[in-house]
Parts: sequence; structure tokens; C-alpha cells
Amino acid sequence: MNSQQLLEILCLSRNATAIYTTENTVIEFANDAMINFWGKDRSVIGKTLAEAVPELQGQPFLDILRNVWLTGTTYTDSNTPAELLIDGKLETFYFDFEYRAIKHPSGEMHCILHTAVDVTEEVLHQQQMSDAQQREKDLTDELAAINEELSASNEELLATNEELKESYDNLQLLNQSLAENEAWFRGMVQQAPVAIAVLDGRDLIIDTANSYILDIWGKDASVIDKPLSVALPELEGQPFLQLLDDVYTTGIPFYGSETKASLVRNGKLEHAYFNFVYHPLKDGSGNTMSVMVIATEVTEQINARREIEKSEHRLNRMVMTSPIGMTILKGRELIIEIANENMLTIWNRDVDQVTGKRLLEIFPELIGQPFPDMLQRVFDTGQPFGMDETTADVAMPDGSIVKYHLDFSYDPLFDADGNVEAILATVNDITDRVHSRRQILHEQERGRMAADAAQLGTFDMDLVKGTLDWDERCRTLFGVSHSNPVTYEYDFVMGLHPDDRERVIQVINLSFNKAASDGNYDVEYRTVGFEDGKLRWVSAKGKVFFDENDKPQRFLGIVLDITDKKEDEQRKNDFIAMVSHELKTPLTSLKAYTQVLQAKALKNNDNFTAAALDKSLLQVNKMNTLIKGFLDVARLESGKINLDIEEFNLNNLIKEAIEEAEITLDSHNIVLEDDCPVNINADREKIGQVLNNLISNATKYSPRGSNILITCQHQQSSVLVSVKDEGIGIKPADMERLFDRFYRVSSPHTKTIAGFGIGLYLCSEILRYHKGRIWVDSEISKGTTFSFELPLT
Amino acid sequence: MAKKVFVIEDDRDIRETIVYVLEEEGFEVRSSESSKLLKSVDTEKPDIILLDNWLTEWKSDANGQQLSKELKSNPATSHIPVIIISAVSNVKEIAEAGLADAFLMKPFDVNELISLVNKFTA
Repeated sequence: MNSQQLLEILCLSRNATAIYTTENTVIEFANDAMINFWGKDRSVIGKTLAEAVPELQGQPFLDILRNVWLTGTTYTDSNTPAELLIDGKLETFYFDFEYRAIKHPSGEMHCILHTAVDVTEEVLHQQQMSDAQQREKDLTDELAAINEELSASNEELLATNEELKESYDNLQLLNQSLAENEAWFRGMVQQAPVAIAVLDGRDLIIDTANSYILDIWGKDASVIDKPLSVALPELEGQPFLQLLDDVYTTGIPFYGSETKASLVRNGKLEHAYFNFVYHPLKDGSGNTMSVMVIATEVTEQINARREIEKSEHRLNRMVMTSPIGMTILKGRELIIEIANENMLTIWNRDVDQVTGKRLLEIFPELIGQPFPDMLQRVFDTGQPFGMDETTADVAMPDGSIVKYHLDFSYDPLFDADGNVEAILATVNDITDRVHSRRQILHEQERGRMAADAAQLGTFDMDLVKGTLDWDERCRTLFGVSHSNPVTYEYDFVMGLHPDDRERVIQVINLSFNKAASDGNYDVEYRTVGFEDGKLRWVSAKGKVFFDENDKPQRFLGIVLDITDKKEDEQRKNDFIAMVSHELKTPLTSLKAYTQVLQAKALKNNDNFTAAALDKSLLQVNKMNTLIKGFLDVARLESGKINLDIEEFNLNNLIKEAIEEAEITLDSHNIVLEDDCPVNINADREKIGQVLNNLISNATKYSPRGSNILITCQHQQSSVLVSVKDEGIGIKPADMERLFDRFYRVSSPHTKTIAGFGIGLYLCSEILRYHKGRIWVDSEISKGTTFSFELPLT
Repeated sequence: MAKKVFVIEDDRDIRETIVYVLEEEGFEVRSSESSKLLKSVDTEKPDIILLDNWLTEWKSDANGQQLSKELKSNPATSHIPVIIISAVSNVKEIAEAGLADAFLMKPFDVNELISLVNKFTA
């Protein structure tokens, strides 16, 4: 093979190759791949590199090359950025490259062999890998390991090169001139940092294979001189043997890209990916003699890319499926790379309206709000940043501004160099939550105001934790001025008046029993102030809340200071007692004297005096009834009516009432029409009072000699008593108010009739206390029927 | 021998009428406007005690009920019937709480007074 052929091969190699001579780095040769890297054309051949690729000025390469020439020391570097002018645009590429010093046997520099692999994609992949955060760290480590392996093989290669150089030197001694080219070629093959093999003849006998391709094949030098199909029997069934045969027979090179091959390496079948060229090597007459194989394994890059794609996919999936708003903002420009459904909802935009756009272009209203600065700060510091419950004004497509309440966080996504490349923004719309919490606070405030207005204190006992919480007013009721924690045992129980303590604890225990009380709590008690020793009356109402097992969990309620009310009540009771005493005392002696006198008159047969004293007694009794009525009303008002329940026969009571009426009145004909010999449980005296009142009313408002009919009916669960007269009747307008206190029907007929308007009020109250009812039916000039009903139980 | 009645009532007119009526009925009556009379219970050994529930000496503190309770709780006097007299409408409750044997509500009926005293001294 001559050097022309070699240059031809190098021309076709996908690995960028150039050869420079002289200290000024004159481009003797550059293949298309290299020229492509430079973004130039073939006219660069023969020029100095500085002339051909002027943008290299200021970058380190020209100096390095000069140094290689002057020192004869090969220079290798990887992942090195280079700025190259492509289509008039300066772009950054990354290269693995070598400036190999090729020397004459005499030790003088012959040329510099420049090989370069564009690893821009890989470098970018690596950067992306870093972006994909922790998950990709493993992968990065793996890559680092591979890099280590690579550099190890590089070292090996260098060692081999040293050996080669020695043999080359020896060879030179033997065949100074002619063998030079051949050796150079073989040396080039061996030195090339890519896998190269030359396969001779249609049988594809392995003529030359460098260590790289042997590594790829997973074989050693023993395969040399064997047909490929024998050396690599696993290729059977794969397309490569056929492709090589095609290249051999047609003379047309074949280029493969990221092609999968299965190779037995380290004793097992492995799947690997390659970029490769099958290039025919022809003799002078154009016949294909052999096929040159140049291959670059790209398995790791493909795996890395797949891994990146997978993790990117995962990140994207995570973003897209997140139940809260998420978006990735790329670069300080804040380009919206991706935004999930929730984010779009907050923005009120379609995916197409935002994707690939600058955040501030879509949402100019954010300028002036703190968010852009916060984002830039994350780029500056690399520290995540977040805030809870902040507000953001977002413009809707119609221009209206919506105020959102948000929790958000900005998490930096780093590139390979540890710079923040993008930000993952997580935004949770808590507007509803904030609104409802404000609503609750508002309600609580209203509740508090209401409690305050009503002067209610509150208590809240957590029965699980065993804590008790008293508000200020509640504390006041127990004579506590401090705001330290209080306890049930020491502050509540000990704060109760000793006489009330046992009773209140019983009531509370009952409230804790769901079946017995349904958790309702209603009690009045006295407290003795801790600090002031003051006696206070408290009305407490509350509710116990239970868990699903009816175990009490929480005990909430209110307390009201009823000391004044209690004192009023006491004063009222005292007053009633005093009035009873003061009014009844003269009546008592009057009645006693009258009765004594009457007895004397009867003894002396003084009938006139006896009859007169009889009338006096009647008036005394009437007076007594009036006083009693007043006192009853007063007692009713203060809730002091106590029913004295006993079992008695209702018929007998009705008969007694009729007899009593007949003793004092002989003006009417009182008839018990239906009787019902039923026993009822009620306050006999008070029901008697109702009957007396109704009979008395009937006689007052109906003409002398008319009938008063009394009926008693035993019903299913009650007893119904009616008193019917044939009197003047009651106007409908009056009927409604008849049972009001102090209400009197005013008409010419009633002017002369005595009374204060408390009788029916008392009747209705007595029945109310008995859980019964009273009502009236009446027709003007026909008569009136008063009826009352008493429950039988 | 005539039965002995203690009458404790601070209203003079009422007290005098009660005394008159009971003496007419043949009782031996010792009366007072004050509860101090009860100090002679051990020596006088009354057969029955009529006790007004609200005596002037007690001001607003109506306590005939308490007095009755003491008498009925003391083994030396518990056998003596006590009738509480009061104008208040809940006199029945007061009498029961004071462990009294009966009550009379003012204004009482003279015949009722006589029959009650007869009943408890028979």
C-alpha cells in the first residue's frame, strides 16, 4: 500500500484526521471529517492552520501544536471544548483529540498526525445526565469507570506505540526507503485511536487488526491470518459478513451507524453498538484486494443516551403526572420546557401557548412580582428556594388578574459542571384552602365575638391528651388571673364549691357516657375563686365528642356567669316570701277572729251575726285567692313552680271542684256529663286550681240559671276535660290572647266582672308544666268551651 | 290532765287567737313570739309544738324548718309532734324538709287548726 492509498483511506475515515508539517502548522492533509469539524472546505489544504481556521486564534490549540512540533511530544486530551465558526456562527464543540508527533528515524519531526473525535454529543449527554440528578449519578460513575478503562487502554496503546516505534526503527534500518510507507501505514493503523482491521480477499482473512479492534472483538492477536468467519463465528446469522462480501464484490464502501452487533467477549455473548466503515482497498487496476474495517464502539454512548432518555422521560413523567403544578424552566431566560396539566390550569393556558416560550413573555405581569428575582437567585446560588402561602397575580387570557395563594418551591437542576441549567418549579394552588381557612377564622372570630358579646367563657378539654383549655372569661369565673395551663383535677374540680363538687362530677361522667347522655352537658354550679375567694354562680353547657367506639375524645363548651341572675332570683324569692308573709298575716288573724266570732254568734243563736260573718269569711277567702294568684305568677316568672306529682282519681277531683263551686254559688246548674274514673299522675292541687278557675270563669261570663257542662274523656294516651258554658262567648280576636298574662277581655259586659287577668295564664302555665295543653272554642252569644288535655304517663 | 301546746308565732293577733281557740278547746297553752320558748321543752314537756316558719327574730332568714329538724333529730324531743305554720305557698315542702308532722297554711281555718292539734295529741 502506498501513502496515496493511505491518505485516501484517511480521507474516508469518519474519524477526523489531519496532518500538519512545520512549526507553522501547515495543513498537509485533512480528511472530510476534519474539514467538516472546521466548517471549511478543501481549500484549506496547504494553508497554515491559523490561516485556515482563524477562530482558533486565542484558543490554546495553535500553541499546543507548535509545542508538539518543537518538543516532539505527543499531546492528547479529551472532552476539550473548541469554538468553531460554522455557517458564520461560533459554536462550541467538544473533542477527544491527539496531536501525535511522527518523527523521522533520525529523530527529526516528520509531521503531526491530528486525530479528533467529536464528543460534543457525549459531553452534552454527560451534562444532561448531571441534570437528571441523583438517579444518573450511578451512570456517571459508570462512565467515569469506562473513562478510566479508556485511559488505561490509552496507556497501553502508548506502550504499544513505544514498542512499535522500536520495531519501526529497526525496520527502518533494514528497509530505509521502500518499507517506510508500509511501516508508516501499519504504524498509523496501530497508532490510530480507533479500531482498524484489514481483511484480505473474499475470504476476509484478517491481515491487520489493531488492539482496539481486537478489544472490540474480544479476541487476541491469534485471529490474525484467519478468515473473519472463523475468527468470529458468532457473526454467522448477523448481516456483517454479507455486507463485507458486498463491499468486496462491488467495491462500494459501506457506512454503518449505531449498528447493533453481537460479539462473544469475555466468554459471553454481548450486544454492542458501532459506527463503522467497510472500505474497499483496491490495487492499481481498481480491483478490490481487501476491505478495511474502521469501527468505533458507541455502546456506552447509546446506553447513556437511552439512560438519559429514560431518566428524562421519568422526570418528564414525574412532572406530567404530578398532582400539583410543575414546570421546568430552562436557563436564565426561563424557557418553559415542560408544564403539567395542573400548572396549565393555574396559568389558564394551553400547552402550546407556553411550551418553548419565555416565562416572562407569557406572563409579563410577573415582572415586578418577586418571582423572577427568586428564580435568578436560584441560578446564582444553586440553592433550592420555596415559600408557603404566598400570593401571585396571574393574568388570564382575557386580561383579568387572578390572585392565587400558592405554596411553591424552585429546585435547581444542575449540568455536568455543577451550574444551574434549569429550575424545576413546583406550585401548589392553595387558594381554596386559604379561602376556606379564612372563612373558618372569620367564623371563629364571629363565634368569639358572639361569645364575647354574650359574655360567654369557653372551655375545651382534650380527653385523649388530658389537657384543658380555658379562655380568659372562663378563668375569671374560677378566680384565675394567670394564663398558665390549667388542669381538670386541680383547677376545675378544686375550683367548684364543695357542696356542688360531687354533683357536677356526676353530671360530667354522665356526659362522657354516650348512651346515657349523647354527650350533652348542662349544669349550674358555684365556684369559689382561687385568688379572690369570691363565690360565683356558673351555668355551663357543653358537648362531648366521641370516637367510633363511643369513647369520649373532646369536651367543649361554654360557661356563663349567672351570679347576678342567681342573686336576683334570691331577692325575688325573698320578696315573694316577704309579700306572702306581709299580706297573709293580717288576713290570717282576720280570718281567725271572724271564725271565733262566728262560733260565738252561733252559740248565742245570733243568726244575723253568724250570716254576716259568713259573708266576711267569703271575702277573706276571695282576698286570699287573689294574693295566691299573684304569688303564683311571681313564682312562675322565676321558674319556681314545683309540681307535687301524686296519683289520684280525676273524677273525684272534678266532683270536689263542682261541690266547692256549688257551696259558694247557687246561681248555675253545674253538671258532670261524662265521667272517666281514671287515675292520673299530676299535681292534684294545681289541677284543682285549673278546674276551679275554669268553673269560676264559666259562672262569671254566663247568665244566672244557665247550665255549665263538664265532660271528662279518657283518650288513648291522655285525658280530655272540657268546661262548657252558655255564656256571652269570646270574640276571635280575644281568643288568641286569652292565655296571656294580665290579658282581660274588654267589653261592656265584662266591665263589672272582677279579676286581674291572671287565671287563664296560670292555667296554661300549669298545663305547660304538666306537658299538657289548654285551648278554647267559642261562639258569640252561644257560649264558650275551655278544654284541657293531660298526658296519662 | 290537759294536753300542753307550745305556740311560737311572732304576730301577736294570730298568736292570741290561736291561744284563745286552743284554750277554749281545753288545751294548756304556752305561747311566745320567740324561739326561746323551745329552751324549756325539756322541763315543760309539751305534747305538741306549733311553729311559725318565719319569725321576726330571724329577719329574712326563714328557718322554722331548721328548728323543726333539730327537734325531730334530737331523740329527747323527736316524739313531740311539730306543726309548721306559714304563709308561703310551698309550706308543704318546707314542713317535709323540716321533718314536721303537719303544716298549716295561712290564712288557716280555725276548725282545721283544732282538728290537727286534736289529731296529734289524741
